[in-house]
Amino acid sequence: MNEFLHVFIMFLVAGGIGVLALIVGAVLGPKKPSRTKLMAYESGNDPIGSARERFPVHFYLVAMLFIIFDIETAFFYPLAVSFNKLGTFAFWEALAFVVLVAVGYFYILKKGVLEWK
Amino acid sequence: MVVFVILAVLAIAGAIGTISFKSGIYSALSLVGTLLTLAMMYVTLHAQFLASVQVMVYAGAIMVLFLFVIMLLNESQMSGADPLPWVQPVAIAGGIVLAAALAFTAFQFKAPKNLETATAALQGGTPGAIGETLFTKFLLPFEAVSILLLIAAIGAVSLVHRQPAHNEALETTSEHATDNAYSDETSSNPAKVVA
Amino acid sequence: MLTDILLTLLKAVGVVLGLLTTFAYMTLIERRLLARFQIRAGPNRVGPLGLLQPVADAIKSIFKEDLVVTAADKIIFWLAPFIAITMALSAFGAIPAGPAGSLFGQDPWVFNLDIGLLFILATTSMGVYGIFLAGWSSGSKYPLFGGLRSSAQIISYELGQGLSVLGLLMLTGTMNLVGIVNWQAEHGILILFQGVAFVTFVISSFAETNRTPFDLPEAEQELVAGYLTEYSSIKWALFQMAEYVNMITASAVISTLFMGGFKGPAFLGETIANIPFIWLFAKIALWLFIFIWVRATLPRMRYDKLQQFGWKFLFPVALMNTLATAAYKAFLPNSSLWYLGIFSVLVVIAMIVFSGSRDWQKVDVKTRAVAGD
Repeated sequence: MNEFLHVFIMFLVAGGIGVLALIVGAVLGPKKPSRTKLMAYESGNDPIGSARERFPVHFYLVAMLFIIFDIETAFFYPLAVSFNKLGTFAFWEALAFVVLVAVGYFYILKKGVLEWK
Repeated sequence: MVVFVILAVLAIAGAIGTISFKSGIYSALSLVGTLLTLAMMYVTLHAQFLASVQVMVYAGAIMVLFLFVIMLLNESQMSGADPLPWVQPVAIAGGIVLAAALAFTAFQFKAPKNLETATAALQGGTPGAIGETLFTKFLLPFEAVSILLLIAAIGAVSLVHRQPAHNEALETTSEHATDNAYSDETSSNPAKVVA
Repeated sequence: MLTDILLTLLKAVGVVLGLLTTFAYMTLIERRLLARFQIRAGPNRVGPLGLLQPVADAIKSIFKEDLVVTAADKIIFWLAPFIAITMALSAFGAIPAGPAGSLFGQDPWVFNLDIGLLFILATTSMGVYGIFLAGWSSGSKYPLFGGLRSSAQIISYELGQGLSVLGLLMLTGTMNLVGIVNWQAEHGILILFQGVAFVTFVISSFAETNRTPFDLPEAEQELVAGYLTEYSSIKWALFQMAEYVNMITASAVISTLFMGGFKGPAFLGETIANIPFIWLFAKIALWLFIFIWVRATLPRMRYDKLQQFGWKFLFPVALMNTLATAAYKAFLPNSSLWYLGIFSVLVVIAMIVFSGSRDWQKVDVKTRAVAGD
């Protein structure tokens, strides 16, 4: 528990460096804005339309699959750490789990989800 | 106790931010704040593993997906008339019921007799201790969860993914293919790609 | 209690300052080394051997005009570099730099958690927000695509990274980084027994830190400067800082998990092997050199290939390694760890042969035909 106080202090110090740097930069830097300087970069042309564009749905799918496999990995951590104590039985549990992961994996593989266009 | 009050206030502030910000990204970021405060609360409850998984899975994975989705929808599409006007009263009623249930549980709660032994067995919520319990006593729920996740994977794919029709897709013009790549559920027309 | 807090504060400040100094000189060393690789001189004008170059760079970035483009979302534009640097710096606090009590009677780490490894993975996974929000808030197209690509890349390789360490955790039975180092001191370093995990973990670390050959977010031919395009002055410097600090942390994690961490080689005797700092620093320096070496050697991957490599190669290989280690633990519990070592070497050789055969890239040709490429 006490260790987490140390974690908190570490975050404070790290965040403090960030805030300090941002403030120092904002105070010391010159400020001579102009329309062209504050224009979004688009290879020198005036920006066309909004940048908050829609993007390929594939990114969304990757994020979704990532969640699913990430949760599966998260479940695996306790199993891995307590493997010594659980013995042979743990292997069958791990196998069952990996098989289920593999089924899902081969499904998305066969569906061609992992092909990027 | 002081820590709890601070964290609770932060969590609720984040939750209020989530529902009151106009911009989707700000709402999502407030939710990230709430989730992180919850993780800190788990730490104060000696649930270290749960806290780290909370950060990794909720804040690190699910919220990234949320941000992707918010970007996928145009922000202008999200304003305008409420498409589901009846949701608000139902949600308010549901919230009241939930709050009442939580309050009831909180005031009825009695610590189990062997709280000390149970706490000691968890060893501060380390992954090892969790593993020993999860993979012996709660094995069936665990395996059920893995099947649930498999179903989720299949669901995600069938919801979003348009399978490129094998041979035809090779012959479609690049225009169609690009169209497919940039489409989403609402605007894509699978027939167009197959045709 | 108060002295404890003060000591931790001191250690935290020390770690942060150390990381920032290392970052500053890493930029110089990297430029000098890249110049050597390309048979030119590199920066050598500012101070002897160019040693004051980082100072000059720092002064320059502080006194540069801090531009926030009109289209940007102001608050998040400021928040993004802050998140990136905070997460990058904090993660390093978990790395143990010596045996307990070896720093003038104090412990040479800021904190030592039972979930140490998970803490590092979780903190670095939060770093993705910095990049993603930077891309989104800029209100400009190149940063948006850069940030998007980068976040998709980071989450894809996070899987490979998370899965690689499972086999290792089965052997050590703990996530505590000091515990993992002590296990290695007792049984031998884990690179020998978890060679496959080592390879997958290192590759994922390169991708996680956006280094060549995975530096797609900053592919200048396609994306100008990626998510950094609209950033200038100190904010830009903070992102650079975060990137290099992540690289240092990755080096430290690889050293700790697979190369014996803060312990020196056992044949030098306990006393020498237990000297704090120097062994870890030497290992980190070695890995930082490898990071630069790889950058000088390998060309950048194409984005679709990068994603396919992560999902179709690293993911199954890491999963199989987990299963193989589980089988070893279950069926040969008391036999020599060297069986695992021999197995690892064979698999790594197979991986190299297989990657040369380009079989896993075959489908790629078809998809390119679809895209009319």
